[in-house]
Amino acid sequence: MLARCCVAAVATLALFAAGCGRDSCLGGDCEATTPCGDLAFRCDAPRLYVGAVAAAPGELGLARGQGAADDVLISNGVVTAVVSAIAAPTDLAPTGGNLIDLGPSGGADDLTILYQLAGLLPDDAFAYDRLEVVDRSPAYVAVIARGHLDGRPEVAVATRYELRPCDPGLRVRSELFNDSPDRQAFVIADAAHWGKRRVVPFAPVDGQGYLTPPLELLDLTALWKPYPFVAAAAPAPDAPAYGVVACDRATVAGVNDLEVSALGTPIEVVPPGQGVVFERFVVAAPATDAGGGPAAAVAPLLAARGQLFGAATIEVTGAVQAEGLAFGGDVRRASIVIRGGGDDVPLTAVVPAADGGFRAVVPATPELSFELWSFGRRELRGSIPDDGALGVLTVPAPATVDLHVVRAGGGADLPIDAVVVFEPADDATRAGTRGSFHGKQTLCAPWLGPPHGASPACNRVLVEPAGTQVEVPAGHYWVFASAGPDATVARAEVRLDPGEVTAVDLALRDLDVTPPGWLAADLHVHGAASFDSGLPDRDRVRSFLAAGVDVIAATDHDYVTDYAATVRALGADDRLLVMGGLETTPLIPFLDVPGEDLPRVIGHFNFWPLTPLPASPRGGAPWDERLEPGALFDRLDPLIGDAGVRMINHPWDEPQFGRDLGYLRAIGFDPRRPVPATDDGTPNGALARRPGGGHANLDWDALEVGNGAGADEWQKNRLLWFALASASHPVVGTANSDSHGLRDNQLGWGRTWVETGTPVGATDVAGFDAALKAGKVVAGSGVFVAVAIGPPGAPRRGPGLAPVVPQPGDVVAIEVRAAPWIPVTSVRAVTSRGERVLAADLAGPADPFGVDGVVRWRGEVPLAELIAGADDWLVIEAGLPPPRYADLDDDGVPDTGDNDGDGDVDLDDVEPDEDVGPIANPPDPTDPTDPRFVMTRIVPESWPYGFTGLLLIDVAGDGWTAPGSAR
Amino acid sequence: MRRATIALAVIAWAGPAAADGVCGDAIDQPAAVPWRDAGFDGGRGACPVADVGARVGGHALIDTPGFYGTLGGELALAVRQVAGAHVAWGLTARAVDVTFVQNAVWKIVEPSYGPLAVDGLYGVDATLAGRPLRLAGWGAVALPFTRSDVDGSTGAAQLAGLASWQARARWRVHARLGALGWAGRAVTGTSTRAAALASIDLAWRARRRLAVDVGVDAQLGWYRGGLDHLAVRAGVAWRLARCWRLHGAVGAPLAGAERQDVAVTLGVARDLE
Repeated sequence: MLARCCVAAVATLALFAAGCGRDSCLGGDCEATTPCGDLAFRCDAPRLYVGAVAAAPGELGLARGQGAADDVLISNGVVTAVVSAIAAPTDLAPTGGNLIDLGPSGGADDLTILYQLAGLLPDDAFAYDRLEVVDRSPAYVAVIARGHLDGRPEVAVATRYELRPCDPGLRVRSELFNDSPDRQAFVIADAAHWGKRRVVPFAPVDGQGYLTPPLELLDLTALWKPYPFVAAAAPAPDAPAYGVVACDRATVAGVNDLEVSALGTPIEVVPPGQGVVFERFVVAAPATDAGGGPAAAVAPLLAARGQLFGAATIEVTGAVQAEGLAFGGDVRRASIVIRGGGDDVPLTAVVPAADGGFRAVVPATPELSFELWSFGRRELRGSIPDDGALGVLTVPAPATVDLHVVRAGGGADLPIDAVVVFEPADDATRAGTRGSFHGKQTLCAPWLGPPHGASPACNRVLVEPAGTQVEVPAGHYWVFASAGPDATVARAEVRLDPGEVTAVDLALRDLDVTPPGWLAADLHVHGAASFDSGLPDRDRVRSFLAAGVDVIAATDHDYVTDYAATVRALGADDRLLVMGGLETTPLIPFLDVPGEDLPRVIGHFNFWPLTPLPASPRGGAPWDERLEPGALFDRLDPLIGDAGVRMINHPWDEPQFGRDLGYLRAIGFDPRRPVPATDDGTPNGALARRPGGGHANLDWDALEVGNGAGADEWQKNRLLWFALASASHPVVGTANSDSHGLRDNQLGWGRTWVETGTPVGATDVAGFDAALKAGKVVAGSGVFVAVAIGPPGAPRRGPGLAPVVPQPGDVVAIEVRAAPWIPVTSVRAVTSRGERVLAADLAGPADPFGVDGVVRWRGEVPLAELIAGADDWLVIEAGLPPPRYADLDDDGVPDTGDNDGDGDVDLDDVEPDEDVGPIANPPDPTDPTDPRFVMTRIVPESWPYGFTGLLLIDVAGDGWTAPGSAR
Repeated sequence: MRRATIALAVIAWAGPAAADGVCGDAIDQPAAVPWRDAGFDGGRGACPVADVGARVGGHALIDTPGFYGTLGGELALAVRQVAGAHVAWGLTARAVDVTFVQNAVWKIVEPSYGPLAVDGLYGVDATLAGRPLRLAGWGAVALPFTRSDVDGSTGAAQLAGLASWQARARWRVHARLGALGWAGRAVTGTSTRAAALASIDLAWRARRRLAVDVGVDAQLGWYRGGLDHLAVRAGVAWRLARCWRLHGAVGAPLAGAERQDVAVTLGVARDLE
């Protein structure tokens, strides 16, 4: 018996030793592992390239691509992809070896990153340490990345990106092997960071399509669903479409969201000694004469599924017309979702070509139907005949508006850049024009275009000096024009008829809001180089001009830009000073905060000036992950130079997607407690830590007090700014827009005025930054607060961080300026001892569209009435009294607004299942007589406020002493 | 109070302790508390046993800083047989294994079955200090290709020298010195682990039908560096009737790199001889 047992055991072990094949990259021969081996495509002129980006033929490149010179470009003339060099990590990935550019060869790239992960934690990201370039032309080219999970060195990983001639997509195979002692719950998935405002995923399953469910990270297991394929595209005419289909299984599993998609294998237990393999086909396709949108990718995806699994397809064709004319070429005009099956599952979405025609391939499904969207509204629905031929579909024709805006007064009218806003003038127009992008994103009335894309976006249009034509649904509108807070707002009432062209001429007049010698700056601005912006550079720069700002810090997330080419192309060199810069945006949690279960990131910081280096990773931006602020400052020092500026952004903003946006909130800073001189283990003590041996964590030059046009961020951040000043850390306070597009945060709202003493054309970066760092600053959202200290009738000192030594009889002279369309009713003086109202219930100008009444309040207050006895800081604020906010969780910072509108802030205002919040700006008024009505037409969700920089009062002249913790 | 009364009644029912020789009754054998997947690292005494049995096991690993944890339970069926004076063999099948794994937000429960394991023992009788001693060599193999839930395969083996000594009438000492080997192989790679282990158990026949056991395990090498664990365990075996017995045990690591936090086992067996 024993002998028989032993024989069986030995035989089994022998079989085991013989193995089960080694056809894998991790297990042996990577050459034998062509992903998606059953796929084959044909084309007329096959070609292949793999090599450094710098050496790649120009025609294979991608517009908007961010590949650096040493990254690896792989192309077959149909599709081009860039794999980041190992030492060049990007975005969420801990290393290189990931796809950072992908698009149709010679076309455009909208991909931020496609990287591999096995789980949600940073430890479970694929971290590659080797990259192999394989050139087997003319058979195939490939790039192989090898490494391990970032926090689990015992879990080996590899990914092979391969292109064969004529392939419309990349063949990708990823492998994982669990050499750890633990059973693991793993997937292999490609995570695509869409960034909320650019590429929109389309998932062909019941109840989804464009309408992806909310991505709750804690529910991710339940949300991880199978999809036959997934496509995605930005709603822009030149946008490539992307898609993925699994090759080694029937579905890809994962989640889709505007922020991120993660698609791969099902969640499974991977025991020690076992692995996972995932093969998929990742396509990138341009819009063609068959149309654009996700359908451009769905067609090759379904072709692949047909080869792999024999899945049948149907072609749906048709044409869209308005008033008998072709109507396509843009998602604004027409976008068609095709559905099928008993559950009406969305199968694809196509944007008709410029001639109105479209051809869309869908899986063979019974009961096909379509819905046609135009100007954000579902205008037509119907069934699709068996042959798929829909014929001509007719949508209501829009009106065409020919917009011109001029600056009037003081001579001939001067055509200018401006923002024009369409506002329904009656309820019928509002109801009949309110739309959205297929039921997703911001509701707008009228919906003139995707709110995060190029102009027109939502209900607003950038108008160029030469004039701009825009298509608008027929209706009755007010048309507002604005060129920023230094100009009037013009308004016209129009009735637009379908198919008619209506000229609308609007005239603005300059206002003396900004005094001579001051420059208006927006020091926190995003464009297409940011992962979360879909705004083309041209429109971004035009928005600078239309907002009336003089100085811009270009601060894209983790990428250095300066818009120099676009500024030159628009001939705006003498009107704009654009400083190259960066918003460091750490995405990999690492920071252990006492009392917190989850690791944190340090939030966002701006740095400028920086020189864009397009041939370098991240445009020259340094890698900013897993660094505390002090170490980050050390790393940036050599790049920005001694005169450069470090700014902490939105320091108390709420985390998004599990990532902290504000450092002070991330560490649990308590503004009611002092900041110790050394790290004492408390949250406030972390500010004194010098993690890299150089800078301390609070060594920023400026703090973003105002972020956006609303009051909510300002009300939180001002307390932090004041607290740090009281704790011997006075810095410059700024206000900036943090604009990512034309609709979210309006460029130039807030803004920071800096007293350089020179016009913009005569100002250089060094001079501007020197004035800023000296504290010669006023900031806010539409309200300029001029302040000076000195004796009556004698020269006075304006804002600045150099302490003021007052003389007996000194006064604080204040002048509050704002355009007549911006309400100001209150002026307040703030010191460490509290607030004093200097003026209240101020009346506004009689005509909000006029030029009179810019100076809202002027007064002198004896300094001794504000600062008595001891050194202190002083800030003058003006605008509307702040909305009601309260600190319900007693952490020293307001967290909740009067959300139920009952006049107080209490637990009734808190959202269900939350402890506090939300804190938001009060809703925009709909009553035209409301003082905020006009301002909120121009700048939605705005609240007028302005504040001076810190004035440090050194009472005894013996050096300024901070007043201690805020009282 | 009610529980204490019940416990006293059970002990009283178990009757007075008896001295059956070192291998006289299987309830004197040491508790087996395996730490590794499929239980191939579990120990045993040097005595041959013929029985059929079922065992449920559980284990827990809570790694809070790593946002990781596993909770597992399994049901194993086994038959052991004696072939002559020196030889015994056994066959164990893990009938079902249910594991909950949480890796950050991933939460998954996976049922599976397998593997099959075979073992063989060769033993001789001796004496130590004039008292009965049983020495044995033992090998156990968890057979590859006998698990359901993986694409590749895993196999494992234990080779151990065993000693069981009747130190006193009621006291038995069990010692084990052995080696573990494990290999996993999938299309994406191969993994091997090995460890040396030593354990000692002290079993006390508290009553005629009741024995308790405490033991210490030391293991090195499994985690590829230093001490895996110094673990303690405690068990109890209770003869229900002439042929039937229950046994249960719990173990916990005191030191080392051991990832598991606790392991428990509970079984029932019927003697075949």
